[in-house]
Amino acid sequence: MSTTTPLKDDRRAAEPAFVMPENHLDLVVTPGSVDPGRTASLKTTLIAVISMPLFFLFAFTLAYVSSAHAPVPHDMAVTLAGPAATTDRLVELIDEQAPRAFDVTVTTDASRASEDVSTRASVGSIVVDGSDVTTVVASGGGALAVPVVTQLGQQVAEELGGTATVENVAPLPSDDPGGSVLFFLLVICTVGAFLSITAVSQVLPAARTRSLVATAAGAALVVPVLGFSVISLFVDFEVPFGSVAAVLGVGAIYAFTVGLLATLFTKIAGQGGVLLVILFLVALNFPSAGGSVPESMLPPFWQVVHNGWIGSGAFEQMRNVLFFGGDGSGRWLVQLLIWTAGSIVLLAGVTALKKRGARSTDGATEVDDERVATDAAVGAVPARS
Amino acid sequence: MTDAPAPPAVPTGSAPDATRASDATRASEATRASSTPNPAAKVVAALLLPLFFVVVFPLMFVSALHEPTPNDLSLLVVGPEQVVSQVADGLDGTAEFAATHTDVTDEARSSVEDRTVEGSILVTVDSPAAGAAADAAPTFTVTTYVANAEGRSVASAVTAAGATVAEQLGTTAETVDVAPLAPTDTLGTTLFYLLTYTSLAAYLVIIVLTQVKPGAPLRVRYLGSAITAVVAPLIVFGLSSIWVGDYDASFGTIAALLGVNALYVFTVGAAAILIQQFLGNAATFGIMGFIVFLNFPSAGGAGPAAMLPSFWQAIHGFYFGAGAMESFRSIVYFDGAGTTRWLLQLLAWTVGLVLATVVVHLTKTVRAQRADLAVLRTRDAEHVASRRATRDSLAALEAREAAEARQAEEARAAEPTEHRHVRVEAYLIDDARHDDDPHPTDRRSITSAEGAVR
Repeated sequence: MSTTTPLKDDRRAAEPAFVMPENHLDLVVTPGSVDPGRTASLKTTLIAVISMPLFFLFAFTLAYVSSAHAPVPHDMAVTLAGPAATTDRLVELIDEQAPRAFDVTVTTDASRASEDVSTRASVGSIVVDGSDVTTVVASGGGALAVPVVTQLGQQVAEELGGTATVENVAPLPSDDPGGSVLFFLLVICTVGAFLSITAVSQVLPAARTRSLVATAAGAALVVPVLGFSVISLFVDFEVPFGSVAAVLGVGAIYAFTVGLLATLFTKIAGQGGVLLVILFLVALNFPSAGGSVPESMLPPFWQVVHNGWIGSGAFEQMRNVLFFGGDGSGRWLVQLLIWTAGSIVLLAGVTALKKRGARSTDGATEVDDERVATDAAVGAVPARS
Repeated sequence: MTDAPAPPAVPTGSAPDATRASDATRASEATRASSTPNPAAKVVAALLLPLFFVVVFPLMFVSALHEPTPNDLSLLVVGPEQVVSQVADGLDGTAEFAATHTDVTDEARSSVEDRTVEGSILVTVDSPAAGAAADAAPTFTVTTYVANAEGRSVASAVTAAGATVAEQLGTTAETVDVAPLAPTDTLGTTLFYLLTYTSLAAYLVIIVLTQVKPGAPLRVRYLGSAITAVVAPLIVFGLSSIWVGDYDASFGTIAALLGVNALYVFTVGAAAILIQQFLGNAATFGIMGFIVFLNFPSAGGAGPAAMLPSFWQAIHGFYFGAGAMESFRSIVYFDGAGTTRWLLQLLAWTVGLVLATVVVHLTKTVRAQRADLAVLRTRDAEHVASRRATRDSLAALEAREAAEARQAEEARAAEPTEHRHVRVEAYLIDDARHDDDPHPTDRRSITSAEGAVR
C-alpha cells in the first residue's frame, strides 16, 4: 500500500480529473457583419475595447476560480448503514473530524445504502458489517466525489479495525474515466445554440422574434445530434440507443431554451445582449452545472445556483439517463422545463410589449403627420419637406 | 398631400464630366449590389460559425482529453544496476512509459525537481538484519518521487508504477511529492485559468477593435495588444488571488509569472492580428481554430502533456500555449527549473508572429501601392490622352480660325482700296392722274445724282 507525503488535506480529491474552462467563443464577428467603411469615435472605440474584455475577464475569473479552485465536500450526502450503536458513534466522529463536510443519513437497512446511491439520494454510502466496510460510490455522479467517499470509507474501516471494499454502482464509460465528455456536450449545446442566435441577429439586426425562435428550434434539432455524433467518434457511452435518444432529447430541450434566452436577451438589449448571454449562460451556468466539480463539492453559493439553474437541470438529467438508468428523472427535468416555459412566457411578453410600443410610436407619428398636414393646408405652418 | 420626389442631383461641371460621374455612380451602385449578399446568404454565412464550433470543439477537446492515459511518460528508475535495469526495461517496453535507469541515488529526487523526468522510482537494497543467513533473499525499499504540480494524473500514474515495482520486489512503496500543489489549487487548474482568461482578453481586444475600427492601423492594434499584455495578467491574477492567494511564492516569482503571462498575451494578440490580416472579417474562425481549439487542449493545463495522445503531444512540443503553461508551472512550482526551454518556445512564437505580421503588412502595403500606382498610371495615360485630344482640337480650332481669318484678310485684301464711283438715279413715274386722288400734285421729274464714296 502506498502512502503520499505530504498529505495536506484529508478531504482533498485524490483522483485525477480534467477541468476545462469553457470560456472561449464569446464574441461573434460573422463574415460580412463588419462594415469596413465605418469609423467609430474615439470614445466609442475606447469604451468597446476596454469594457468588453474587462467584462469577460471579471465574469470568468470570478465565476470559475471561485467555484473550482479547490473543491472540498460541502454537506455531501452520505448514507451510513449498520447497527445503530456503531453508526451513531461514527456520525459523531465524522462531524467532529470534518464539520459541515458530510450530511450523513443513518439506516440499519444495508440494501437502502446502495439504493440511495443508485437513485442519487446520496453521493455515496458506507455499509458497516462488523468490522468490514463496503463503500458504495457512483463515479457517474461526479468523478471528483468518488475518492472523497472512498477515503471516508477507509477511515471508517480503520476506526473499526477492518478493511474497506469499494463498489461502483454507476461507473463511467472506459472511454471517459474522468467524466468530462458529457460536460463537453453541455458546452456544445449551449454555445451552438446561443451562437446561432447571436450570429443571425448580428447579420439581421431587424430580425423578427419568430425568425430567431425558428433559428433556436433549428439549432435545438441540429446541435445536440451533431455534437454527440462527433463525440461518439471517440467515446462509447456503452448505453442502448434509447438512452442516447433520451440524452439527445434533453439536449434539444436545453438548446432550444438557451436559444430562447439568447433571443430574449437580444430583444431586450440589442447587440449588447451578448453580455447577458455570457453572464447567464456561461459565467453562471457552466461552473454551477456540476460538470467540472460535482454539486456536493461546490461552495455553498454555487450549490444554491446549481439547484435552480438551467445548465444543471440539463446536465444532471443527462447524467441520470446515461449513468443511473433514468432514476430520479423528474427533479432535474422539471427544473429544465421550468426554464423553457419561463423563457417562452418572458419572450412572448417582451415581444408583445415591443409590438405595442412600436404601434403607439407609429400612431403618434401618424397623428403628428396629420396635424402638420392640416396646419399646412390652412397655412398655419409650412408643410414639412 | 404628398411631397414631391427629390429632384435628381444636378451634376456640376461640363456635360462630359457630368456624364462620367453619372456612369461612375451607376457602376458603383451595381458593384455594391452585386457584392452585398441577400439575407438568406447572410444567414447561412452567419450560421457557419456555430456549425464550425459544434464540429471542431468536440473534435479537438474530446480527442485530446477524453481518455487520459500515460503516453511515453518519462520515468527514471534509480538503484543497483542489476536490479533496476530489468525494471526499467520492463517499463520502457510499454507504451505508457519512457523509462531510463541510473545508479546515482541523488538523481531520483533532483531529476523530478528539475523537470528532467516526470517521476522516478528509487530502489534501495536494505542491509541484511544482524544474524540473517547469508543466502537470505535481499529486501528492498521503494520510494516513488512524484510532482503533483506536473499534473495530478501524472503523479497518480507514477505512483501506480512505483506500487507495481514495489509489489514485484515484495514490498510497498512510499511516495514523496517533491512539487505539491498549493492548498488553494488542489486540482492544479488555476494556472490554466490564468492562461485561458488572459488569452481571451488578448484576442477579444483585437476582435472588438475590428468591429469598432475596422481600418485601425497596425500600430494601433499592437498598442492595444501591448496594453492588454500588461493589464490582463494583473486583473486575472489579482481576482484569482482572492481565492487562490499567492501560491506561497515570493514577489519575484509572481513578478516572473506575470511577466511571462504578459509575453504570452502579447503573443496571442500578435497571432490574432496576423490571422486577421489573412482572413479579414472571417478572422473569428482562425482565432477559434488557432488560439482556442489547437492551443488550449495542447497546453498541458487541462490534461498534462504526458497523458495526451501523440498528436497532441506533438502540438505541445512547439505551440505557444504550451510554452506559456509549462513556464508558469516551472516558475510557480519548480523554482524556475525548466523555464528556459519553454520560454524560448514562447518567445520564438512572439518574434515569429511579429515578423510574419510585419512581412504580411509590408507585402500588402506594397501590393496596395502597386495597385494604386497602376490606377494612377492608367489615369495619367487617360489624362495625357485627354489633354492631347484637347490640345489637338484646340489646335484644329485655332487652325480653322486662322484659316478663316486668313480668308477674310485675303478677301479684304482683294477689295480695291481707291474711291468707288457711285451713281444713284431716282425716277418718279409720271403716271396718269386718278380722279379720287385727294392730293393731286404734279410730280413729273427724273432725279439723278453722282458722286464718290469710300
